[in-house]
Amino acid sequence: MVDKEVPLIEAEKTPQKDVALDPKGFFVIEVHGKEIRVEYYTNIYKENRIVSGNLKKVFSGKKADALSDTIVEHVPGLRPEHYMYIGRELQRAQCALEKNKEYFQGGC
Amino acid sequence: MKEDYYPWGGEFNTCSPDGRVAVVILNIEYTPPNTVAIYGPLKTENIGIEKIVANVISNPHIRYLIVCGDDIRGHRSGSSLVALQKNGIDEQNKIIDAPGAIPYIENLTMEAIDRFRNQIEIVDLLGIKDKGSIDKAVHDNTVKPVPPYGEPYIAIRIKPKTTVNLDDKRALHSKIVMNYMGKVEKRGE
Repeated sequence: MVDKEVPLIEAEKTPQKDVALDPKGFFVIEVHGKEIRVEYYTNIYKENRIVSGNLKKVFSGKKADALSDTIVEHVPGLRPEHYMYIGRELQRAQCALEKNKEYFQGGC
Repeated sequence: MKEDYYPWGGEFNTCSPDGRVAVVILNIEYTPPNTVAIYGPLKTENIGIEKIVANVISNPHIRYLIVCGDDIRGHRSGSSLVALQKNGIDEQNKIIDAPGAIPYIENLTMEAIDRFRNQIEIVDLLGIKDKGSIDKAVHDNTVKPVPPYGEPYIAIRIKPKTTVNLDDKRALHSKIVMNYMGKVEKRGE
């Protein structure tokens, strides 16, 4: 007898071509000096495609958790997968910062 | 005044604040001599170029921008930067005759772009990867007797937001004495 069954779901990466761009905008993450800097841009569309962004906010810090929390607070309403992407990129950026290595922002 | 220089952070290195030369390095490993004012990579033909423009015009001593190395495939950001200085932008904010995919300048005013075009002469070394040739261009332009271009032009300012510092023990342990009217009568530790 089983009281409860829960599904086990195998993880599967969404192919880059299927990643939906967030209508709320995008982020540029950079490591320079002794901090991580994150710039938030809203999308600029021309001829039905995103061609650039309008810089709205800049976040700075050393820790992925603090930056993640602050971004959630100051940029509400992003797509869930976008928040998760930012979280893992910030963790990579923090590792690079702490190990004094170069960081290049990865794709979704 | 020098604290106003380079207001828009990015992946660049600064050397001599009075240097006349800035260097954009594309797809090559190269470290210029420390006589240059600023150097760094350029990736995108939109925001990447905007950052270079905003940072370069903040330092009026910079009069030459060397663009060297192999242009970025697809983005063609180096060629787009050269086109911006040569042609400016159209009414759609697109760099005129830029070969990049999306060479739009959206975070800078026309005045800032004009300032860039007037202050800066581009030294087009696209395709040049040889350290000796780039070093020579840096030296030749560093020794040119050109004056600074007026005052710093601040195209963008990242303004720190005031926050409460919770690490401040005085703030955490302050005693506030209020009077019967509800007004603060005394503050102290």
